[in-house]
Amino acid sequence: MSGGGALFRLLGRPATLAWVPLAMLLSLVVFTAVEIFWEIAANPLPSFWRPQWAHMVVWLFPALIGLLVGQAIKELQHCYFPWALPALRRRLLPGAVVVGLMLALATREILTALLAPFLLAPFLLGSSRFPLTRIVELWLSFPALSPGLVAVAFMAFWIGVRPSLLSWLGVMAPLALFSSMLIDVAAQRSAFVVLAAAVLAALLIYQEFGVESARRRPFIPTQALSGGGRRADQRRRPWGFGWSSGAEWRIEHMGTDTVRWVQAGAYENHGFHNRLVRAVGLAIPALAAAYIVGHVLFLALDDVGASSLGLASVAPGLLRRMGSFSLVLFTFSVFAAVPLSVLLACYASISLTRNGSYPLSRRRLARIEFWGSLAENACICGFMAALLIGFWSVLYGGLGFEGSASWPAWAGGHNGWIPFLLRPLAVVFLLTPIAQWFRLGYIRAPVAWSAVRRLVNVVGLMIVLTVLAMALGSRAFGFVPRFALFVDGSFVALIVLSQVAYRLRVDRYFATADLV
Amino acid sequence: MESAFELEKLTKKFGGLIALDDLTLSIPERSIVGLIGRNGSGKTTLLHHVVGLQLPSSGRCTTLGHPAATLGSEQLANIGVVWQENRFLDWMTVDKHLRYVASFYQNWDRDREQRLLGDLELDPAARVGTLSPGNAQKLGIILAVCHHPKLLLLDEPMSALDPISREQVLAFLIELLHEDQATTVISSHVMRDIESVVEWIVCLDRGRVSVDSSLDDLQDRYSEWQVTSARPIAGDFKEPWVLSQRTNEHKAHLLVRDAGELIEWFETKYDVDVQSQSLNLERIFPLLHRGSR
Repeated sequence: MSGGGALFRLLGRPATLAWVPLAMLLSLVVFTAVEIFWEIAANPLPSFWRPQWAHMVVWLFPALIGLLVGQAIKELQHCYFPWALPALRRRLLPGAVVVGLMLALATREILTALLAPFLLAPFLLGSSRFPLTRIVELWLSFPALSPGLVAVAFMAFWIGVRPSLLSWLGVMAPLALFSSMLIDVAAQRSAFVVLAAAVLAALLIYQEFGVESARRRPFIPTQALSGGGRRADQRRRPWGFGWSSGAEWRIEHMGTDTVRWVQAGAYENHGFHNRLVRAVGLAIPALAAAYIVGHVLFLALDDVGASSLGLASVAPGLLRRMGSFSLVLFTFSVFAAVPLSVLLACYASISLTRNGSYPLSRRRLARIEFWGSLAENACICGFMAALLIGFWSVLYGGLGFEGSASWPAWAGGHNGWIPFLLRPLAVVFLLTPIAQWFRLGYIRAPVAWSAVRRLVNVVGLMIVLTVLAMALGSRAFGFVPRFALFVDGSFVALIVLSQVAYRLRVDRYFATADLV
Repeated sequence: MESAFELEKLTKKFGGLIALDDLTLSIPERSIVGLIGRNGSGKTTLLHHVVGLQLPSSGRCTTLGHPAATLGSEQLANIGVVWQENRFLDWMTVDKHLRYVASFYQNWDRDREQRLLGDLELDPAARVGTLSPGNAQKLGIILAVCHHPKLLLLDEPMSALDPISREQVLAFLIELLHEDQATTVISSHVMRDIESVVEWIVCLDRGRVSVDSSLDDLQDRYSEWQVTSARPIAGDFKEPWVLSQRTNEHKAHLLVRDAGELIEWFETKYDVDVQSQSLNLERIFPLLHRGSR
């Protein structure tokens, strides 16, 4: 087999075809949001932040593809049979290097196209009044940045290949902050950056394709693929396939108490709190992204920002109705809380494992699944509440956001904690059962899905629910205060409805589905 | 004769647990070995060491003349393994999976692959993730043998197969052994299966080799005596080589070890008639463990 063939055969499946446009779409959305943000922002953040985010696409696109390649390789290495295949790692490696280089070049071309004024202007603006100087400037300086950009994209690809999904997200965002710095350095010292990229890529390759890593892999359970491979490595048992959370099971007689069985579900999944702790790493980039998007919206709908964008006639007065704080906080619930909740619900759960043999009827299994999901939903909302409060503290206190003067009023005012804390949480509580249902039917289905397909599905679900939350939230936050009671009442009714619907689906599932 | 693989004072510890304990073993080339032992005796761990998947805590393992820890592609191309744990790429079809694995070998035998697919009635268009455990095991067997390995390691290869498939696999293995003259190690709990194939037995007990002997020698050493007496048999026979006995007034059934030349002496001493018959591996197996305790 030719060098790259081994890898390309692994990637030759429908899930890959679905992932590539998804990755491109995500990158473009982030890029577009950042470009708009920078152009219209009246210095809302320290200027240091802007260029880094503008080049986010240089990291994001190759890293998302790297993530796919990494999942496909790990999926293979988690089986036993590849260990005895001659020169497996040597045959996978050239393919990965070729994909990485092609991607780096493709990223450069994509960015070139994106920065071309004739493409960007009508897409973003629809207005001749928009200041294009920055874009033209970037476009003109682009050839000089090429070698560094390609090198950085190549590095991003390897960072994507290397870790698991959860740690990947935690690593990517902080690194992305420095992408512009790297690219700027590259403009002056191309050879140095290319060399540095090559060294970093070589180190990551050595770690990913090293014999020790391959030797460990078959002993790691496949569920660790996307849920934190390094920890699974450390916690793996000698020859078993389970991994220990370190906690002790102290209940001697389970009896018929549903609460105990829900506790067992949490224990079997290595403690739900462990996953929440690890999710903090994800929350930081998610919050940063949410802030950016929220601020873009804020500025776009503001009178001054909107007129500079030529958007005055598009959304007249909406900002006045929603209020700037509502808008920023609404985007938190949409762009940070919802995707995070989907990730947590899909990859960590309070649910009894499928292959366990329990003295439980299908009806009781359904009841335990429902109450476990409810407990899980409550935990996720508690986690989000803590994040939300922390986020606001940083936003209004630390960053000196222009609305910081209103902080005390916000904290205690009539329009304060109910819409700003409870409504985002209500959106999460309302939508999480959809992710839980998805998990029940697909993620934990008896015929396991491949890691790559699971990745595509989970990210797809994140996008769908985010759009749903956006539609729902824009209504909820857009209402004037005198309708607040109606809005809150509607949320309560919708939550009850979603829980009843989820209960019915769980009952039906456990009554009719194959459980093993 | 050269060794296919050799373990020298090999110890493997998992924390406080000793899985392989100062184990020394040499398997000659072209031999057909049955690796037996109770659950947790270290059979799978031993096979993992032979292919370098696990590394010893101390001691060394040499496979096809190379340290197992650093087996290169040349050696791996001569090894075929059927793993106890059947984990494959679920999203591929059987045919696609076969093509994928075949692409790693220069000498993949497509005829053998097609013949086995037909004999074992495995649908090439079936998705691997939907295969039953038995069919997944059949796939594992096909993947392990179509590149004509010189060393074939089979870890519980027939545990999930139905009797017909088991017969087919056994017949194929015998044919394969003649064709390829591969060194073959079959780890199994189903003694009847391996008895018809193997010529050498290695028995592990708590990480140590308790028996390393030819099957013929083993069957010579262990036998069952049917003892009949004109007078009632009073009490048990106290000879140390009597491993087990069941007495019924005028008759007794004894399971004995290394007592082939003692029949006449025994008949004279107790004034009884003895009819000796050899034991199959299924019946010898419990005695091996009893003898080692």
